[in-house]
Amino acid sequence: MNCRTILKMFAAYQDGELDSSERSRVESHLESCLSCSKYYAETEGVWQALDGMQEIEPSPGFYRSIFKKIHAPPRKNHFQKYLSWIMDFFPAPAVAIPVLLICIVCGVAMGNIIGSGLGIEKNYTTHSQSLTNVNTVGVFSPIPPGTLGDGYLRLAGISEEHKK
Amino acid sequence: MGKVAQGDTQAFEILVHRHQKRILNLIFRFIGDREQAEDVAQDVFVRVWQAAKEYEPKSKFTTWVYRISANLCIDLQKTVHYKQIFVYPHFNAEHPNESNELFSYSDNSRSPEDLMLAAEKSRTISAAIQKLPYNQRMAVILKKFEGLSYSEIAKVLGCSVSAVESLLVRAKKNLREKLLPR
Ligand SMILES: [Zn+2]
Repeated sequence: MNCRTILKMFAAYQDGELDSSERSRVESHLESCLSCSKYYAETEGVWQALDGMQEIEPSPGFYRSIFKKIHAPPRKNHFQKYLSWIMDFFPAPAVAIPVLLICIVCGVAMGNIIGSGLGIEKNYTTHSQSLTNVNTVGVFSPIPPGTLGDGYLRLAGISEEHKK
Repeated sequence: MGKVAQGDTQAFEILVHRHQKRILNLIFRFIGDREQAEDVAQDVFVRVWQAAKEYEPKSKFTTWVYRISANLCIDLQKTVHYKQIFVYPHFNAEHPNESNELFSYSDNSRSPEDLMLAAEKSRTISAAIQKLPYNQRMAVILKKFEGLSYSEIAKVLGCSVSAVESLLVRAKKNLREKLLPR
């Protein structure tokens, strides 16, 4: 067995992880090879020197700190913080749903009030009328006439006209 | 451990007291910072408490705790750059005589000078260990200080026995280069 192979076996030999036949092969090589035996002695010296690393003792409050960590609220990331802020605002879905519905109804109502206040004429056809009128492009419009979106577009259109 | 899984805090406290020093030193040897080691060691026991129900009694408890510790240590070192508090400007090839102290220190005498020497020696070893790549470092600690077999280390690190062997071959070569006086 050559020196290179033996060098690779040193770690396992030192750690007692070789079987008896491998161990005796390493030992017979060490007896006959001066450079390998010197190398092994040095490796062994370094490994023994690691014992010199001092131990430390846990602080007196070690367990108490663990107990505190267990009972402390979990640390939140930014998304969780934002989510919890929203959830604080809407404590339960039972409250959130009615609030959302009220918002939608109010939005529609406000749209109508603002619309009539500015004197927007209802000169657009109703949805059923537009269906019968081939010339009406609005049939396939992504914003069907009479919806909230349509109202906003009309409002915007009027304000543009006022500018002119 | 069964009691801990059922939420018995007294059993947990006994478990912590039984293993705290071992786990703390394992982490301290890996991180090299006393305060950080204590913080991480506490986190290990928090995980033990939280995951107690997942623990399978067929595997050794210490192997399970070592695995939690190793994962926490390696994950932390990957994401956080710990401030190196142990810096040894004189431990290099330019001052080989000082590193010779590593091999001449005797544990029997305890004069103030010897104590300082022992502390210095300990820091030198710690610095050398900390320069090892994560897996090599953990393998060295588990072998040298915890006395685990290659197959036990393989279970902790989640790799093969032959992988552990090659980790230790490289680690020992690296330690030799760092610690051996030239
Ligand atoms: Zn040889």
